[in-house]
Amino acid sequence: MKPVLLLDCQTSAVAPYDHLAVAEGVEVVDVYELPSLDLDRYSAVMVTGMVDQEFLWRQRDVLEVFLARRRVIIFCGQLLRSWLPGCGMFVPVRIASMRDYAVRLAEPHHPVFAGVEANDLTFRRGVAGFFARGYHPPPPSAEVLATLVGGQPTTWIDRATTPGTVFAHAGGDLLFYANADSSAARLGPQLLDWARLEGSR
Amino acid sequence: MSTRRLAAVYGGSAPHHRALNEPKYARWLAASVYLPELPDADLSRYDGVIVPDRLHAGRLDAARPRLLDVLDRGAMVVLFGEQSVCGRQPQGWLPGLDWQYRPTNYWWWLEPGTTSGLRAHNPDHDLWRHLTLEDATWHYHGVFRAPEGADVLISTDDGGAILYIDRVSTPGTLVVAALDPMYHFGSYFMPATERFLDKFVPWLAQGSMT
Repeated sequence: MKPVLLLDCQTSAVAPYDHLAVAEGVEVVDVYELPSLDLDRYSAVMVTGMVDQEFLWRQRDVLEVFLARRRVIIFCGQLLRSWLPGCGMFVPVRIASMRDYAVRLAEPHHPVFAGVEANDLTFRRGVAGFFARGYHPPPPSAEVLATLVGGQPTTWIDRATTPGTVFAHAGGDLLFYANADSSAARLGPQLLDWARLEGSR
Repeated sequence: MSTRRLAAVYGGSAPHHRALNEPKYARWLAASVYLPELPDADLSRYDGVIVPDRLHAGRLDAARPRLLDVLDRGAMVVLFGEQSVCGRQPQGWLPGLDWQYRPTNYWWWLEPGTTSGLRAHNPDHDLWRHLTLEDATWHYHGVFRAPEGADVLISTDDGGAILYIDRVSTPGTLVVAALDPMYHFGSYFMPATERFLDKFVPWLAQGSMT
């Protein structure tokens, strides 16, 4: 299967995708090289939260062509510009207490979340809030995988807006969980496995 | 003291966009300069340039000569973080910078008997009329070894500088903070970072550096 292209934002000293569990089958390339890449080599493109969205907005035609070839775009972050087809702009959730950060799995048997306990996504060593602090309004036919306790759709899949698949997560980089000492560690590898399969249809 | 004309570097990310466009901070900023355009930007009309945490290391490195220009003409550069460029070039990315990676303890406040490990110094400094140590306390991803003659205002227990002002290494003023408030405020995460920016940004615009 074709690898996943991870667009590197070059914003941290230690990259989560250095972790062995998520390094295999992933190619990491500087985001600003996107215009010169042959995207046909990849099953999926993964974009994380510190990405330059002014730049991606200017590159939206490249991404639309990629989706027209039935490939996958994974976005973990807060959408600021409309470069991701079907995805509404990020809406922060008003957090009154730590309980508002609780994660609910709408599709616990989906291959991305199978075997992952919602509680392990809500808390990392007792601290809540890493998973998501808001949501992106999904298109009507989207498959919602996870929500906050208030029902806000934090994580969903859209196969209707384009011939390809958009996986939108309104929060932190899901590969980051590869370092977790809980069932949440399954999430990163499972997301990448799903994306490679989905983008090889 | 008249208000400084401050520009801030904008990396194009959602967290940067929120932090720089929040009205209570934007009112102190004369301009945002988009990072990919920074290498060719004319910064001569600004008294200071704020470099937020978590900017793209390669693009920021390409703009290094512009920041050196600012310091060389006696103006101010405020560097947050900066684990991206300093992670790749720990020493000397700007004059006097000497960075050391530290694994992040996000959880110190949950562990009995553990403190943040931060200490305030130089109690008469103007910064402390605006800010408390608690306002600057969440976590850090690294520390700096401040050059001799710099004013260290916050350090770790073991002497790593978290916030210092260097007026000796260049003709200008280099304010260095091993803190990442722009990212966390912009990500709707960690309320302490908002308390910090509420006080630190007005101080950058109007406060005394001594």
